[in-house]
Amino acid sequence: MKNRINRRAFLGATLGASLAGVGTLTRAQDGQPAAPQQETKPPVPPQDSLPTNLHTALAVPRTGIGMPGPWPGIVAAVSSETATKNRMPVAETVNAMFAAGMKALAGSNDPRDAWATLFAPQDRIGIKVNPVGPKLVQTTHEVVRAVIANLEAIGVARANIAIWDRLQPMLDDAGFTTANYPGIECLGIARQVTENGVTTWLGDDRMDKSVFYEFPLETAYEGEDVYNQINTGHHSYYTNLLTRRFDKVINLPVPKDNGPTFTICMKNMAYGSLSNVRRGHQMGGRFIAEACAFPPIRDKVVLNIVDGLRACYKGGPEGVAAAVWPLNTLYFATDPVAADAVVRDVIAAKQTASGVEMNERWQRSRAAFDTWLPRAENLGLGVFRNRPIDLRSITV
Amino acid sequence: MMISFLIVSLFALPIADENLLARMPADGSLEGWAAVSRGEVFNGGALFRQINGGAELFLEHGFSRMALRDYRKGEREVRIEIYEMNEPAGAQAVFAENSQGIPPGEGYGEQCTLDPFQIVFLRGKYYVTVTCFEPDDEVERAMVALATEVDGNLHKP
Repeated sequence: MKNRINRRAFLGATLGASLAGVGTLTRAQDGQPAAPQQETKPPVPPQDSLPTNLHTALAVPRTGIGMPGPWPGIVAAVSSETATKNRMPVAETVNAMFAAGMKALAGSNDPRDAWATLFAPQDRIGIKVNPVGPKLVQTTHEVVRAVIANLEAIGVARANIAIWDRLQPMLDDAGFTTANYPGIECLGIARQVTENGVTTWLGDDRMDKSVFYEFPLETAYEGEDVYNQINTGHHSYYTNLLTRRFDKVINLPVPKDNGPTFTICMKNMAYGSLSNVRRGHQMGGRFIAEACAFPPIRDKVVLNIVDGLRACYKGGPEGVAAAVWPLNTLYFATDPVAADAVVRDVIAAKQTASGVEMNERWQRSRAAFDTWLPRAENLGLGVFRNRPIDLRSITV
Repeated sequence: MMISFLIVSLFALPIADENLLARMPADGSLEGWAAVSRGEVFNGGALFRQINGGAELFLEHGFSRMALRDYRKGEREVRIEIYEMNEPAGAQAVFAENSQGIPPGEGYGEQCTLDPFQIVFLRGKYYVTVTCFEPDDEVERAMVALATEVDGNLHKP
């Protein structure tokens, strides 16, 4: 086995005299963890009184086995010291974690029973990834491939599986391409097409104008961001990938700091499935919870697997590498609220232990965003505090 | 209101964009490593396309443009991103925010943080990341060399 150079003493001296003033990649001593953060009373978000069309969503009867799914309040957390090596996922271990996680989630002896409870061979399934922070803190290919393998094992054809997210360029950059996934489409809602030297942004064609979340807030999108957002105004349309293409969705978020909040299950869906979403930041946690309460997300996201092989406690969603740590844990849940509650605390604890301090402005923003969990519970999307979360921790 | 746009690709970038790309390590400056392309520049809101919600922090502190260039040797890859802010104070604010909870390093720029996967440093109004995706000895050597060259280029007027 090749001897690796100690990462704590890098190689500046070996580059030779031709590179004058070479720096060396060395790590300073770790600082002491900061004292626990003071509790701050959350202010009442002014957007609480903002009128929305949420009532139209709540009036639509539930279908299928959507949120919180057949196992509400249950989160199976599977950890393994060998899940990653030098922060790179180890496929064999990931596969073993999948088997253990689905058995624990369903309370069954055979993980295929869990998969067969949630999915039928004829289902058209969309795998919602998080490609942001490509190769550093994205949804890992090992997890995606494990999902695909388990679906195929119960008879789902590759042609009925697709990988998707908001932006095609980000999917490409993260390696979610047909070349890497033969027979499986990798679909970005917003994408660029170049013909005869002319580049056009497309995205409007992947929105369903009949299904939207409406509220009277706007954001002025700057420059090219408008193509990512697709439209302005008071409507956020749901993608027709959700409303027409997929029967069910498997949500594969990554545990990440995201400034004042955290990107886990519900934010991965809320901000990845609609147009004109950046204005949602003005609504804090209310946007995250309510966007998920509409039928396209509520009724179709049947399984959440939080890819915590690596997690990010600062600098998200792209992540600062030094704040990415090998959490080595996968979280399996049909209940995204319970999963978010568990994982949120893990990231927050890491921030505290690492000495991350929040100024007053961040604290106010955090308080506004943290309402996503109780709001989602009140909307019937899962379990937060109304009853204990059943956290099943397994080590493989 | 629905907005639809048509962009005509330009054969030459604006001068400011070219000037920023020119601060990248030259193609071939590191033996065995080649630039994947001439590089890309993201102006203003286009930054969201590259780093998603992370762009808000930069825009909040006076973001001008970001140049990105990948360097490859076989399967090994290093990515350099140079964020040009309007003022040094903006770059300092971004660095301060993103380096919270991370031990300070030394050897690059005015301040830096170090990780086997990434060197991050601050030089004037520039915030720079040099990132690899699968570290090994050769990649680490490349990161050190490329980061040093970028730092030197940014130190020039």
